[in-house]
Amino acid sequence: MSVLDYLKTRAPSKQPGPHPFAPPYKDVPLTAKNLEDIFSDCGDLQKRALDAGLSGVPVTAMWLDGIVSGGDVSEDVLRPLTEKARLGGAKTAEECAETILRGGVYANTAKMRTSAADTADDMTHGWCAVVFDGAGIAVTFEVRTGNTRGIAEPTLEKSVKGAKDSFVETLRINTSLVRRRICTPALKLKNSVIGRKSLTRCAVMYVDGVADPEIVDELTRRLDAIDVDGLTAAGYIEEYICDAPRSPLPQVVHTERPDRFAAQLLNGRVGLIVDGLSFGFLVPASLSEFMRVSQDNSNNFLVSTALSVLRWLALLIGLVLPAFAVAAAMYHQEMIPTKLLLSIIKAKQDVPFSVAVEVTGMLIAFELLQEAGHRLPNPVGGTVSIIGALVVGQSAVDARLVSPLAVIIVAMAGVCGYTMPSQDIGDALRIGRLLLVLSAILAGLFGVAAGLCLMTLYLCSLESFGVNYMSPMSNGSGPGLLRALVRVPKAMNKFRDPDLRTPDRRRQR
Amino acid sequence: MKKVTAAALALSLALLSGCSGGSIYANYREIDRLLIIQTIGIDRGADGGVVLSISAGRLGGEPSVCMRAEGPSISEARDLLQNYAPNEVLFYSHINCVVIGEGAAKAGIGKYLDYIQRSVDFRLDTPIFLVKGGNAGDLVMGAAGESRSVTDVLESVKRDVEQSDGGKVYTAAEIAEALSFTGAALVCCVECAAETGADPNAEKSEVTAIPSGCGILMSDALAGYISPQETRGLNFLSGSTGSGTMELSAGKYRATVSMDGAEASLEPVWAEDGSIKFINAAVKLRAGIAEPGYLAPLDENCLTALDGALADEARGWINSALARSKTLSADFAGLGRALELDFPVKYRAMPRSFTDQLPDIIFNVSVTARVGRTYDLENPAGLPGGAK
Repeated sequence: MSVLDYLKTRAPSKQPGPHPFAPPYKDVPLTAKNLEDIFSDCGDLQKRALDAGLSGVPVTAMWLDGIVSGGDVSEDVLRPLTEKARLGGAKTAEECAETILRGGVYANTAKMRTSAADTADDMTHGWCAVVFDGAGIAVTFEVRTGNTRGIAEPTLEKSVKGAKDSFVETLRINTSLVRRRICTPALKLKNSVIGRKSLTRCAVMYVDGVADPEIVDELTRRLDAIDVDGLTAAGYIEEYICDAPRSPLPQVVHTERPDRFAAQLLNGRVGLIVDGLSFGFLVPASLSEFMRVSQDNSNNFLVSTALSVLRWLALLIGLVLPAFAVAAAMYHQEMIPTKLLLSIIKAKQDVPFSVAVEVTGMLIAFELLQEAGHRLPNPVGGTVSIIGALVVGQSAVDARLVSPLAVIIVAMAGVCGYTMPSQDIGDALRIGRLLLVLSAILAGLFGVAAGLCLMTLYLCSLESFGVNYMSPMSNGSGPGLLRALVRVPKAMNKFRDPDLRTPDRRRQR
Repeated sequence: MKKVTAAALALSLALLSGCSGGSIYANYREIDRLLIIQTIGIDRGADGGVVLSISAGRLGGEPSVCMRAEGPSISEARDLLQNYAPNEVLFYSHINCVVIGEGAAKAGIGKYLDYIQRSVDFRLDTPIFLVKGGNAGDLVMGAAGESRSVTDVLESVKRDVEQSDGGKVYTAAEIAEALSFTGAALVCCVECAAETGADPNAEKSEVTAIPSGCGILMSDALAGYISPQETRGLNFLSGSTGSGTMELSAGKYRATVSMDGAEASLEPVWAEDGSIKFINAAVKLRAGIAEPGYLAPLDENCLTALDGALADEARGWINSALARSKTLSADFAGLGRALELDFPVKYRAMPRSFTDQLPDIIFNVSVTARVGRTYDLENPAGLPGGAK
């Protein structure tokens, strides 16, 4: 049984019906009164009775204040509806609705609705509903407010030579940013709604003919299987669609850069954009993908390769250095160069704690300072980090609570962690580092070696949408390892990553 | 299944590695209690025992710690030394130098080499020094001062021997290997000397070590010495000169030359029965003028004379060292191994071993030398005939 088959047996089936989660009012007749009942105690519900010239058919315009544009409602909906000439002398509600749909009002998008559930759904997404009481129909118009955050520069993934736009919290703006970069009808966009209560809209994006259809289907299936109240954070998506939710390692790439998102779609990955989240998700994920930065595509290939190797080295150093230092200082002093050992002994003479306590304590202190820096507002957070590093560290050394070695080792490991392009990998690195330090305390280099073996085994056992987490390094070929480390010149990079199983492998002549 | 595999692998790592069963904890040491021993001196004690002298590492500004203990074996002497420092753990894994006294070397250093090879604390690449005409303990204890330790002194000697003379300070592994292969080996010799000039008012003069050629070990015991000049001749024969200087004198011409390099080749002439009749050794030396004599112009005549002087001097040293080798029938120069590498079939077909043939082999040593003007400075200012 393949991994994908296994996952298919695990996830629940898709919910049927017009509304993905079948709300309790799904069979309620469509009237203004019923809509009022549905939105009872909703202070932002606005309604206005209209005289559309239909005898015996009350017409009511209803919308939720704040998420629709008041000006658009007035100009594009209410005004045309009240101009009787525009409705062409329609006698019945159906005729009136038909006239409206044929262009009787200015709104760019209009839909005929025959159920209260669909109408309510539209209204919650920024549409204005014109309800024809008694006829059981309504016409809804998209008059969503434009009061959203503007497109700004990326804050986390900065690039000197890259594009300066980043995703925002609005789904359509985000999809448009991607479509601007991939101007082909082959860029497909599958909409879905997630969340029983939040009804969050999502869009699965992929390039037809490039992305593996199995991955597209699998992502759609996993999204449909999400049955939660609301989708308010990235974790809801990541943990529900990844293969190993209990793993500390990130298994979904997320980026705030539309250019990186688009580039990965062209590489054969499948994207996901969620309304309300200012970044896009990409699957399948692999460790090597987390180690790349979008700047790599802009820099000279030699510079990119050197920086890539540096990041991998930083990953290794950040993971192993504290454990190696603890093991060497506790069990394997013969490995330390003589002069360094003498220097360490001299610095350690007045420190009352063992190396194990020192390094573990410093690691925990480092995490505390980092956490404090994150929690505090930006200007203060930076200050706390500096105070923590300089004042607390220096004071601890002066007070002979820790030796300079412990401070240097932990600081080095911390700096290496900060070089990680993905904060998720940086976080996983922190956990791995602590586990290796504990292994080193328990069993020296043997513990470190055993820990690294287990970590390697675990990493190689992870998969993301059928793609090995350690690919391309795990495919057993030398070029695979090189692909992870080296950024080949663009002209030579003719084929897409084979691990992504793209139907069209060639990306250029 | 994956979890079972992972658990099985983890268990196998734990059980099959040899580090299980708590043996790893035997290595646990509090780092701040370690006393890093950097040099160990071995002398022959009374009743065939061992006198062990140790010098602990020190950082700048700290006096080095030295101790001495005598015991029937190295292990027991180490235990005694540990008793002298109950608050510290004597840590032998950073030994940079092993010094052996002449008495101990004459009695045989095989057991010490054996101990070094067996001990997990010692390293096989530890250089070994022999104290010519003295005890190792005197050097180890006497060289310790406020500003230096015996380790500093011996490391200075090592640099001097390797960089200036192009020689080697042989390690425990090299000596053991040479002894087992040819039955003879060289060991770097130092002589103890009272240090003068550093502080003439000091009440106690410190001991220092000066390079003094090599000791010849045969069947693990000291059989004699070769002088520093003979040692240098052997270095030339192996194609090594170092960057040291030599004083040359040829009639009215004098100069100090710095050695630039050497090329050496050994060409055996085989007898009909497969034994070696002659060995033609050709050595080419290159040197540059480091300091001219200032009495005669640095012209072609001068350089030609210096060429001859350098060749004569080197030939004399080489011949002298080879004569010692023939006299002792000890291939301490490693000529046999060099020939075996170049002529493996003929070497193995020899009716007698190379060492047995050694007294009968005739060495034809030819040395050519070329002394050049440094920086091609033909007529330096200030010399007779030089630029004004």
